[in-house]
Amino acid sequence: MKTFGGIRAVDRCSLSVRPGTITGLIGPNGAGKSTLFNVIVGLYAPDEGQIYFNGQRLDGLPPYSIVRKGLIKTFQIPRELRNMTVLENLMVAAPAGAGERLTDLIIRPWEVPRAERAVIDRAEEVLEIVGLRALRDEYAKNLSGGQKKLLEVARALMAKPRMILLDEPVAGVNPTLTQRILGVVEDLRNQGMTFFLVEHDMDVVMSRCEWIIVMHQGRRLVEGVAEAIKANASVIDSYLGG
Amino acid sequence: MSDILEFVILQLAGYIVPATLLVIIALGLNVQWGHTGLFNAGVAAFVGVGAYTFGMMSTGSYSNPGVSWYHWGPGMPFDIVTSAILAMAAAGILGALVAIPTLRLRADYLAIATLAFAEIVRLILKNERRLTGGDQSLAFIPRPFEPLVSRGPFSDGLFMLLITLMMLGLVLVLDYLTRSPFGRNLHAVREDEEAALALGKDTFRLKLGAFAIGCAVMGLAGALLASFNRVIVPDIFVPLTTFTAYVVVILGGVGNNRGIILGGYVFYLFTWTSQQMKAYLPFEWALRVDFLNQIVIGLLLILFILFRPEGVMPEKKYIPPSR
Repeated sequence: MKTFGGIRAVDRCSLSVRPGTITGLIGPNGAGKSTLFNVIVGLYAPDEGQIYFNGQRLDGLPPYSIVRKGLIKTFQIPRELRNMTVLENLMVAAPAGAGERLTDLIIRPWEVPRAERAVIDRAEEVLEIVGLRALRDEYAKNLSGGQKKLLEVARALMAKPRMILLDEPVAGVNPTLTQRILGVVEDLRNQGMTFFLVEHDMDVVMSRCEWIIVMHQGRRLVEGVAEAIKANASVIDSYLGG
Repeated sequence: MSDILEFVILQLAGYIVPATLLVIIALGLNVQWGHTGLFNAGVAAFVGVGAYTFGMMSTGSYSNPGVSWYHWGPGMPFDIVTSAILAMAAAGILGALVAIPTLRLRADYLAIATLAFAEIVRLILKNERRLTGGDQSLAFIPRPFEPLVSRGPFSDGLFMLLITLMMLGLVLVLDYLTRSPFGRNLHAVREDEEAALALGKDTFRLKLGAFAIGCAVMGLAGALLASFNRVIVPDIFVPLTTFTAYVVVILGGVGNNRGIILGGYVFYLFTWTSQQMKAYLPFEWALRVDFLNQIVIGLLLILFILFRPEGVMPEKKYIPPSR
C-alpha cells in the first residue's frame, strides 16, 4: 500500500508476474499503475505490504540494490541524461564494475581501462539490438521522442536484468519505432526475460501480452488472458468503455 | 640587471600565484558543481578552514604573539607537507559533515546549509581569538624551503613554480577521476539524479564523495594561500571569494578541468591589470577602479550565462573508439 496524504494510490493490490512472460498492467488514469511501479523498484517506499522477487524481499531496499538484484524500470517520460552521449547513457547503466569506486581508481587503476572496454563493447551490442547504433555519439538531448523511448529500453538492457518494468514504452511513438520496440521486447522474452508493462494502447496490450492485470483505484480489479479481459463486464465498465 | 630580474619575478609572481590559487579553488568547485551539479555556497569557508588549519599546524603554538599560549596547535610546529595534508583533511571532513544531513534532501538545501556554514566559520575565525588570532591575524606562517630561501623575489619565484606545478598535477588527477567510471556516474547525477538512482547508482555516496573531494581541494588552496601570504585574517574568506570561484568556473568551462585554468588566469588578469592601472591614474579615478572592476566582472558573468553558459571551453564529448 502507498498513500500520499489521505489518498491511497495503491491499496491492497496483490499481484504476481510469471517469469518469462510479457504481462500487461492496464487501468484508467490515476489507477495507481505508475505508482505501483515506483514502489516495486524502490523509488517510493511502500507504507505497508511486501514485495518479493526471485524469493528475495525487495521492500525497504534502496533502488540501487533492487537494480543489482536484476529488476529495473524504464520511465514513462524518458529521462535521458541530456548532456551525455547515447553511448555514455548506456555505459552509466552497466552493472557496477571496476572504477566506479574511488578506492578502485587509487588501488587498481590498471583494471579500469579493460573494464571500460568491456562496457563499451556491451553498450555497442545493445545499441545494435535496439537499432540506435548510428546515434552512438549523439547527445541524448538531441534524440527524437521515440528514440528516447528506445534509449530507455537500451539502458535497462545494459543492467543485465532478469525483469524489466516498462512504463508506457510506446506511448507517443510512431508505428515503425513501436514495432521495433515491441520486436526487441518479444525477442528478449523468448530468451527468458520477464516484462511487466503499463500501456494505454489496447491493440498493443491485447496482442502482445500473455497475461493482463487490470487496476482500478489502486486495487487489482481482475486478471486474465486478453480474451477474458475483453469480455469482462467490470473492465468494460471502468476502463474499456462502451 | 639583477634588479630588473628581481622586479620581473616579483611582478610575475604577484600575478601567477593569486591566479593559480583561484584556479585551484575553482577546480574544487568544478568537481562539485561542474561535474556533479552540487551547489556549494560556502566555498570561502572551506578555503578558510584549509588556510587556518595549515596556519595553526605549521606555526605550532609559540610563534604568534597575537595568539595566546593556549592557541590550539601542536606544541611544536608540524612540517609543511603534514600541515597541508591536515588542511585538506579538515576541509574535506567538514565538507562531508555539512553535506551528510542535506544531500538526501532537495538540491537547494545543500546551498542553504553551506551558506550558513560559511558564515559560522567566518565568525568563529573572527571571534575565537585564542584559537585563530581573530582580526589581529595569524602570522609567521612558513613557506616551503624556508630556511634555504627565506626572503625576497626568489622565495616568490620558487613558490610560483611550486604552485603552478601542483596545479598542473591536480588537473591531471582530477581529469583522471572525472573521466573514469566514477566521474561518469557523477555526470549522471548532475544530469538526472533520479534516473541515476533508477539505473542502480548509489547517488548519495557519489554526491558525498564529490563534495568531500571538492572541499579537500579548496582546503589545499587555503593552505597554499596561507603559506604564500604568511599572514591570514578572517576577512579574506568572505562570500565574494565564493562568488569569484563561480565566475571562474563559468568563464573557463563547466565540467572542463582544463578550461578552469584558462578561466582563472583570464579572470585574474582583469583584477591584476586594474590594480596596476591605479598607480598611473589620477586619485579620484584610482578610487573608482575597484568598483569598475567589479562591474565588469558582473557584466561578464551575465553575458556568459545568457550567451555561452557552457563557458569558453565546454565539457568535451566522450567518444571512445569503436571495436
